[in-house]
Amino acid sequence: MALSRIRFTAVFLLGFLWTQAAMAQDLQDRVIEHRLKNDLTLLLLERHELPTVATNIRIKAGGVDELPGSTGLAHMVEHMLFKGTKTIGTRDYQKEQALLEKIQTVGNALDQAERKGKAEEISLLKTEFQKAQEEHRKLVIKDEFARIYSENGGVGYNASTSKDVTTYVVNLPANRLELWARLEADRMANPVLREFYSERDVVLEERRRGVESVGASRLYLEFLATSFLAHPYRLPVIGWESDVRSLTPQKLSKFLETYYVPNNTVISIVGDIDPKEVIALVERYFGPIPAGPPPPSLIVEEPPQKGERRVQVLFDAESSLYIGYHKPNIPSREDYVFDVIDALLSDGRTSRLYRSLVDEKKIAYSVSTSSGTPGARYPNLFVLRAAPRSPHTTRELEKGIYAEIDKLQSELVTPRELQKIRNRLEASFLMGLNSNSGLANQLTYFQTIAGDWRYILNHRRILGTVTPEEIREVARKYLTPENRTVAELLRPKTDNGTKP
Amino acid sequence: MKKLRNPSRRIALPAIAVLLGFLLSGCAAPVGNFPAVSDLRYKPIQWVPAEPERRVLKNGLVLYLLEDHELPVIHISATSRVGSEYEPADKVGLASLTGSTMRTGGTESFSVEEMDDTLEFLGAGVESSIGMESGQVSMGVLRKDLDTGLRIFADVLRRPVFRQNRVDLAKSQAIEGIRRRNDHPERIAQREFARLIYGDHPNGRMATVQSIRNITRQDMIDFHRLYYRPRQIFLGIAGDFQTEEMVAQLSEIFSNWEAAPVAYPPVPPVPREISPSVNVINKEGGQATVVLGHLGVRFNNPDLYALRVMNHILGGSGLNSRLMREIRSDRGLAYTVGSSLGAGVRDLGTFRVAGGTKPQTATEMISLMIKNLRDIQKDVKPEEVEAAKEAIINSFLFTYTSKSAIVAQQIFLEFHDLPRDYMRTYPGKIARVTREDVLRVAKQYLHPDHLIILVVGDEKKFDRSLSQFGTARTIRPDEP
Repeated sequence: MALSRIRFTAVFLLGFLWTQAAMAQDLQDRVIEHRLKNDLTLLLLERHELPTVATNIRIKAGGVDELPGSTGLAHMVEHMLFKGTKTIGTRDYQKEQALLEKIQTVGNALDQAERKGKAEEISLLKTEFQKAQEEHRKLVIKDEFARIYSENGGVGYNASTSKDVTTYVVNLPANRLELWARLEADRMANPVLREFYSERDVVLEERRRGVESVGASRLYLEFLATSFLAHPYRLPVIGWESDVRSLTPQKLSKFLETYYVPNNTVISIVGDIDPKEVIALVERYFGPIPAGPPPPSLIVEEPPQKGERRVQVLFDAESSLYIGYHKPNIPSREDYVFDVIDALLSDGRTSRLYRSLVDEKKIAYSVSTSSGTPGARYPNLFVLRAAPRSPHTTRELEKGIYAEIDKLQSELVTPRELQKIRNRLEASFLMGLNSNSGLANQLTYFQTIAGDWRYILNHRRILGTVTPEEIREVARKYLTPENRTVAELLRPKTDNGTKP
Repeated sequence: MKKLRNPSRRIALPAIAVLLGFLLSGCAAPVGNFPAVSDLRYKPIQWVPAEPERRVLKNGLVLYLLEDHELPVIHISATSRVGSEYEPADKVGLASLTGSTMRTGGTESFSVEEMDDTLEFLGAGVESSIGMESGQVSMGVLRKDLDTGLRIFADVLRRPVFRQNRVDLAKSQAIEGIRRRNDHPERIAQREFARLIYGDHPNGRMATVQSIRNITRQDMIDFHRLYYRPRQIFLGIAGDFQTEEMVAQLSEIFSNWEAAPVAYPPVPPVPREISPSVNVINKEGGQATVVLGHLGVRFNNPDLYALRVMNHILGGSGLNSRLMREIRSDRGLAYTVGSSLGAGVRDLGTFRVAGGTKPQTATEMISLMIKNLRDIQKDVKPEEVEAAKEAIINSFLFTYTSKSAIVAQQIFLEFHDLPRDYMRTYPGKIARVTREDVLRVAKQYLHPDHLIILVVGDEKKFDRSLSQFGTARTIRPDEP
């Protein structure tokens, strides 16, 4: 659970097209949209292949919505929402309340003492803290959400936090939909932040595992922190270690109140459903949850870049490379042009970078691109990632990549190459329609990010109108040295000059 | 599976007790009106999974076909009796390279450039690979492009030419992969653990720069010619086609492919006698990654059902497992921790417990892992057994998520000589597992006193010495 999505993948940007096929043709009419009075948006799609349902809850809140000093907050909230409610995960909530308050008070004091390094105070507080925790543990039913879903045949029960959004998913046998509604509405309305301090340690372990143990993750983190000066896209979703250590239940409650409201939520259910029944269910369980004030909008804008930025990370791992260029986001026309450039450069064995760097020059072990990193709610990056093949270096790879970018800026793309991209996107769209959870994911994602799930349908129509001249123009405008950030992962030199 | 049981009858007892307890105490009213989970009732699910059609061509090629007209897409995959277990010890990597170069090295009728251009222009894909015990060539194609796709698919399977420059490229990429395989501590730990368990047996071997250099184009040609034969191949076809037309088309393409007996080299049995050991690979920074365990069981073991339930309780069910509860949830020591019961098909698999924690709690976590192995040999609660059985049975539907998955299951069963009704009888066999069975298999198959322990991490920072678990030795990845 709880992936902080710091991986490098353009999960959402390929292959959402309108096509000739019955299923695809019907998508326009088959998706049912329902809005509750509290402004929660519900999207439904019937597929009766298998008696199961895929559910997807998308909250429009993520790393970008954190305040300075509180990085990791959105992700920590996601972890804590697995801990239960006033009726799930507890033997007696009333008894629990007083203890939770005490644990919080002692926990805050302990955090402060540890920051000041007062050994005697720490030891006293620790004893008190552990005693309260032990007493509290007697009232907790461990991981009850997970157990209930599991016993009822749920699979893929999970959540993830990105810069833009937080997502909660589970797939269930179709007859268990009321169970889902009961649990998820309760999770939204009555979360209880129990077992906070041990979970904070879990997140610190997650951070150690994900960022500190893996060179490529550390490189990505520094690449983003260098690419953006002002915009919170520069901050890691998992949080800086010192920030995570100082997160408090109070900070989490405030975040929950602000963002986890029905008017900031999109839900999709895809599978063996009767839409009328589902709407009634969702009305019954989610309807009584009051809407909140509209969540605040982010004011900060990234200033235009004024020259190349470079950063190096020394790590006990083989070398690799990130190159990023600032670009506009959805719904800009240029964002669609970048989707075409993305496919041209790295989609498949016939893509330009693969052919040139892996097949012909033989200087790359791997190469990939993504458009829309690290998020899509705000202006973002077009990113190239590559690893050299020994004895070649990241610098040689850079040159090879820039040669291909020069080509984009000087030569027009052929009609056949454009047609290939359209065909590939269409086919992968069709093959992707086979997955309930994949469809559920796309519906809530584009409803949240683009404001309308029909982005999925319009995408191909718009891509079909992108011209070779436009591609050249966008490449000339954005893929410039002044607009780029380069991050290199290099092995530290040892005394004898070889790897340890 | 004729029908999914209505598990509302089988909600575990403690949940009911707890929720009643709550209702009686009458606590502060939460927002909304939430019935007790145990009060929810569910309509039974009536559902029969589709059965693929089995056909055999004259030359012995077996077909499993299942129509699916929802989308205009066809998936075909060929599963072959070939594997890295048959490659010579000084050419480890041959099977894997042969598998990938069948696709990337061109065929008699298509140069690789032509093949890539044709497939990618159609948005289609053909891929090939060889693993430990089987090889796969698979294709995904739009219905309208079936003919073109099939010509390429059949050529990759039957007539790869392994062009020299493509062989060289594949070898160089493999060598670069070897240079990069120690970048990730968890991968080091899992790989080196397999080596500690299996030693020189094919299951534990891994490619080296030298073993890749030893491989020639002729080796690949021979390896392919030796093992890719109709009687050793099962074709699975799912998607938007008419069965009789498809059978006719496939017979035309494949009927002139001569069957020939294949002489498989003997694969030695996995050595049963393995001495316990404590091993550390020093790596600075980040977490200490732990893998511990011993040999496991085979897939055809009648105790596999009880073992699955046992493993679910111990560490195979994420947040619901004992290992997660004690090590992650109660103590905050780890993000991931769990156990896996690898059941080998041909021979014994491995049983593993794995997790990562900061170096300052490394031995604390190992002690807790071992304690949990001992604890489950002493006691399991009836409600734990019931909850595990519920979870396995009720989620069984999700093994049928696509028609190609159903076809692949049937091929897996025939490939490994397992009964054709294996899937259908699986939930019933899980349902019959008792608490006594779980205790018995925990005692019989877990060996907390005979463990191989491997830690990848910064030993200087460990909370206590590893010697408390036995004499610890330092090893280095990739070294013999």
